[in-house]
Amino acid sequence: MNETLLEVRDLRVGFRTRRGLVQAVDGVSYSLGRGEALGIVGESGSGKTVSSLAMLRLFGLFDHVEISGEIIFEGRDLLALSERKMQSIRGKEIGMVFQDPLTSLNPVMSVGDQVAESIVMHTGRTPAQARERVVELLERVGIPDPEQRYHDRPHSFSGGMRQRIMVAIAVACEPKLLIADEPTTALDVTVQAQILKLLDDLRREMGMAMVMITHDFGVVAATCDKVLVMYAAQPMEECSVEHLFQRANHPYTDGLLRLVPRFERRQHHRLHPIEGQPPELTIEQPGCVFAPRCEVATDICHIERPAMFRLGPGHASACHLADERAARVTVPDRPWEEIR
Amino acid sequence: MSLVIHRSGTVDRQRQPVARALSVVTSRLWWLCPAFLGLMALWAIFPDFFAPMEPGAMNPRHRLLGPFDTSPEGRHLAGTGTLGADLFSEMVAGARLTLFIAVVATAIGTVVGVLIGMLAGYFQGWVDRFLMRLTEAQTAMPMFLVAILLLSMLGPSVTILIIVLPALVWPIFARVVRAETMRVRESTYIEAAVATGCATPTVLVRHVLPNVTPRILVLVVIEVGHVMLAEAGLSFLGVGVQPPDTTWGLLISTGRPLLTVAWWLTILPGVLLGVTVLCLNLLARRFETRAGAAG
Amino acid sequence: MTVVEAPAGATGDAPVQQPVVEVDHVSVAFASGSRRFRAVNDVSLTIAPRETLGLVGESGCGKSTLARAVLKLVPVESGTVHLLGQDLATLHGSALRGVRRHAQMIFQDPRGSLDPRMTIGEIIGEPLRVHRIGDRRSRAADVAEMMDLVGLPASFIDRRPSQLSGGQQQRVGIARALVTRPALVVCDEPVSALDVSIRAQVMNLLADLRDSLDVAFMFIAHDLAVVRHLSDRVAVMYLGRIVEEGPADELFANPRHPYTQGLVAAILRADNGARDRLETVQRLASGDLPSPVNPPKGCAYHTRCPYALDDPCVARRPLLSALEPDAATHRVACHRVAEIPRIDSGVQ
Repeated sequence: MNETLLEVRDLRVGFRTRRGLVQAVDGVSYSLGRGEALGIVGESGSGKTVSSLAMLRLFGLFDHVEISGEIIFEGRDLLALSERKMQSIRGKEIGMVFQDPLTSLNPVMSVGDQVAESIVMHTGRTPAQARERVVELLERVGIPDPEQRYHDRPHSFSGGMRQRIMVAIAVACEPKLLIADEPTTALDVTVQAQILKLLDDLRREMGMAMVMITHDFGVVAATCDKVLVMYAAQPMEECSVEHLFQRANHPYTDGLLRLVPRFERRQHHRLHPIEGQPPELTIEQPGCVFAPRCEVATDICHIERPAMFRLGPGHASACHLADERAARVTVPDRPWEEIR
Repeated sequence: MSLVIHRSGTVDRQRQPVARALSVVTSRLWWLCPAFLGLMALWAIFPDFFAPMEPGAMNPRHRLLGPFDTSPEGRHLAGTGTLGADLFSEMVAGARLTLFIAVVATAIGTVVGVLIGMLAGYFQGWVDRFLMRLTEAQTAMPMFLVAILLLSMLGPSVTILIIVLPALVWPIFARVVRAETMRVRESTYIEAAVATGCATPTVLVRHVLPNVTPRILVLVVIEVGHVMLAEAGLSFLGVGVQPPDTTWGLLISTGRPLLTVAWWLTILPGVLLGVTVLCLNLLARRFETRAGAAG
Repeated sequence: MTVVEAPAGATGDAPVQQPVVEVDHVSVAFASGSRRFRAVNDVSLTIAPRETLGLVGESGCGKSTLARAVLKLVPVESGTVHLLGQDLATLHGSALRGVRRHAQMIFQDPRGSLDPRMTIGEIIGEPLRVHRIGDRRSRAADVAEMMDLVGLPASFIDRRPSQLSGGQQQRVGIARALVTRPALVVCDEPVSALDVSIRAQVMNLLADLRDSLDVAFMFIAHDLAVVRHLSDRVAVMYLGRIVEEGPADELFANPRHPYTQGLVAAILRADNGARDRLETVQRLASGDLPSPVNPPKGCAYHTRCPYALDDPCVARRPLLSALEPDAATHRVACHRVAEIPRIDSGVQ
């Protein structure tokens, strides 16, 4: 196993709003080795995006943010660094690809200049010197005629192309870690596959580690080595991708996996939705945060919040049923098999 | 490691004392505005109840008394006029016509403006161009001068005022409503209404209008103030309301020649008018913040 | 020209035998700024009563435009649309509105499709009011019944849309579309704006409604798995044309057009073959979507197709034709379809 590049310990992020403290991330821990890819899966409001924004401390828009915990990147705690040191990390050591290329790219700047900006800022080259590298990058991410299109503005590109440009900006300085926040959600299916393949290829070429934030397990299956499932700001389960599909342990993970319409099946089977609604993040509730919606919840689940119980190497689940002291509960292995 | 990020660099408007005082006034004491306006409305509806003396009552022996002076009639809170009439009672009496003209004229202007704006915004094309030209033409016309012209030609009367004053107001509504209509028109629920089978008039009345009006409520309140001032101006110039009708504008006008000797005759009705318009504006601002938060 | 009345039977049901929708060589033009292009280009299809047709394609393929053309919400440039046996081009004004009673729509944006200033009861009851169905009491009963059918608590009747969640809002949209018991409901991406866990609930609802009601559905989506779950037949669109069409099972088990194969491969199933499938998609659907303003000559897909040849692919546009003469239901628009290898779509 390669050395650990990133270790997040008990990360908590809260926003103080008029309605009180919104705990957007509540106790997330994980580690990532060099070149390894982690998928963070959750629905909207699960805290998956915020936990990654915390890594880069991209909270410029918010009034009052409280972050606690440790984010150890290459031996240094990112939360202890000054803003100035953070700036030298953003873009250079850690790159980020955002969800919506339309709003994330500057509409009045040429795409070439936008890619060059990152290089110029972190390597001290002039824009002219960086140009060659930019054209190289644009070509690598799949922009045809990169020489000509250097000067074009974002609006003259399609959505898929814009996302490729974003990727180019993110990897321009060959960062050690790439964070991709739902990079393909706004794109068509075929383009989505292309972008994911691009990210995967780049990751291998450059030896980058990657954190892929998504709500789609298919994306995780295609690009990640391990996965962290989040719900309502808390981590639910962490395991390797192979393991996830063989046997997901946590009832929420299980529920999510069962939700997706199974393409391989004959039609006319019922999907198994998760009843209820996700909770409000301002209200502290006792017990497991998923308990109100959980099919196999027991008494203790409503009283005490479960710790992340270790189930094996690299596999942990925040569920009382995972506790080795728990009684054996038979959760059907693959429920959709039974439905005809 | 714990980190607390507090947004810095924003101008904190609350720090400056004047701004802070004003904001306290507008937030805590805002209820004074509708209270005051309510009082004015009561003056308009029940003048006899609120006027301590008869408004037109002439009392030449006690003319031009200052505020709070007494005469055999009683205490004149606002003093008396050239013929001894109690100013306070005159002001109470004047409330009726002032408010009536302002409200009715604004109402007419609103209806016309909303109609034109909605039709222009919804149908676009030549309808829009035509109606907007009309609006521009109206805006370009110096309404005040036209009003003066009309009123001096046809003779000033309340009726003419009510016909002429809306012209000041409807273009504003037309423009705002047109913009709102154009925005609403793109909404999916309008498409849904058409898909359901609604005829165009139904769509306009049931779906466009209710969604367009919230924004203009604020404007209506402000425009009432504008019209009030416009009417005061016209009356001041002598082409508005004529005696024996009174409005505050007329009172101001009547008192002007005596400004140096009997300041209260002009200033007090002026203050009354000013405070009323101010209350309307503050109330409108309150609507705005409430509507902004909800919408 | 006689005004054609809507085919209202005693109960307002549409006649049973003829197709609910017949689209015949329809083209719809779009003007975007100064540019003019065909969003829908010579498309023909039919939907039988109680049938669900799934219409798939990526952005810009024209599926949403076609859906609106079927309901005459956008004008048709050429070709004819017959809705319940009537030529839409001949219907105007109140006759057109009369037909709308039998053909309704569910929109993609649940929040935007509901008038924010109306209550839920008013929204669902509006079609009944507009078409003058029943009296106040029967309408109230219909609305209540509909709310129950779509799983909305009766207490919601006086609420406003902003007080409901996305999934609940979409249920309102569904209730509104079905309250007049139409013969056809066009669903324009009804679940794509919803959260994953809510999506399943709404899809179950649609599946139940489809099974229990006497309605034909035209179901538009870009997510193949969703379409598969709900459709009897599927048509795949690309740049305004149908490139493949057939029974859902058949089409997904055995996609023949390279684009369909690419779409199928691009479905990122949560299993261990996902990485390899990325390669397949790259091969079958490389590059980007061409601009609809300036579509490629000949077969519109040739710019991305791994099997494209100058002759015949660039030279001539392929027509939608049946794979086997007797299996007329599975049709593909591809010159080289016989030579294109099948892919393993993983479907049983």
